[in-house]
Amino acid sequence: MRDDFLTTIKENERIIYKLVRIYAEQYDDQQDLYQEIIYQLWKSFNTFQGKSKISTWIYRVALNTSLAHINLRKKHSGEVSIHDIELQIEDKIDTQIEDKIAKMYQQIRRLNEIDRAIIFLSLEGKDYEEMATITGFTASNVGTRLNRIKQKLKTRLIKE
Amino acid sequence: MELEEIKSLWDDVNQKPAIKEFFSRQNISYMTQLNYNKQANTFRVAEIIGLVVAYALAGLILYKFNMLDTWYLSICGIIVVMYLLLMPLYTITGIIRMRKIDLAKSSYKEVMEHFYSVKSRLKQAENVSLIASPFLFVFSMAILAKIFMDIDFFTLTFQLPIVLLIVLAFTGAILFNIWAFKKRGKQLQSVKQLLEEGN
Repeated sequence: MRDDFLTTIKENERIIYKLVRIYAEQYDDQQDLYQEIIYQLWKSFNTFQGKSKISTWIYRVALNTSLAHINLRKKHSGEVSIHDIELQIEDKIDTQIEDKIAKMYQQIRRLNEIDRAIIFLSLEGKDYEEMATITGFTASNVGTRLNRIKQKLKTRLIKE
Repeated sequence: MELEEIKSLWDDVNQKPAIKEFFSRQNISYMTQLNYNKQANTFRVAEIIGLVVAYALAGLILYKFNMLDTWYLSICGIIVVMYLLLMPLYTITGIIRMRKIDLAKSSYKEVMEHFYSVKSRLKQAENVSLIASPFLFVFSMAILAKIFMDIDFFTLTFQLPIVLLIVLAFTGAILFNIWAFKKRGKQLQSVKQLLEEGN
């Protein structure tokens, strides 16, 4: 079972990677959250019954764990800047793009818990139905929220 | 940065090679051996220390309760002991409840609602503490003065400037706590509103 699990994680590691950066700002905190997500996935791996796609299950567990993480933890007082983190964890191929990616994560992190989850799933290319399955909100509510988030982001981006 | 650019950057992230520190097979394998210290199941040191101190103090007051020989000191003793015994228990059970949620089976919305309900309960306890704290401080002073120095705090005569200072500090503490009380309420209200929009 462990091999199956490891293979599943390897196949879907990008989901966790992006989510970790959306919910945790500091590098140490990102690592902790990553561990928590892996642990939660492992804990429930044998109860996954294949009723939904494995990626849907991963999205759900990872999003819930991230939400629990920010609710159970005190805010991390970071000693390392966001820019430093980018340099630590990304290959320094193109600093300009890295910088933009860092800013993008920063913008998303400024959203509230629900908006963060919805924009993440939208960027991942999920349709309203799947987003509704993962989040528990209705599909129409997800659509309304998504439009509002886009407007919010646009206003912020114009201001900056 | 435009919205379209966010989408394009997101696609860039998808193209990048995986991060070694996060995703080495060895690390993941290690985590599945349940060796890592799960923070979600452990209490913070401050919570444990708080509980121990409160129960020790309650034990001391109960042990010396016969020294509280006037009706008002006895009432102070009962109020403080009840507070010391019940409030930490209420908080700790709230924290245990907060951590008891099946993250694999619940939806995101359910997890949010769960945290909101437990946090409301904990905030209620904090609010009670905030309002009660100036009174409890005075009651505790009276009890400890009696137990350790055999002095009846309430029959002491103070000079006017000291009385004024005490009244001022007491009023200040209450006003500050009311302000903090309102501020905390607003934080919870915003989460409540977010959830209501989803119904």
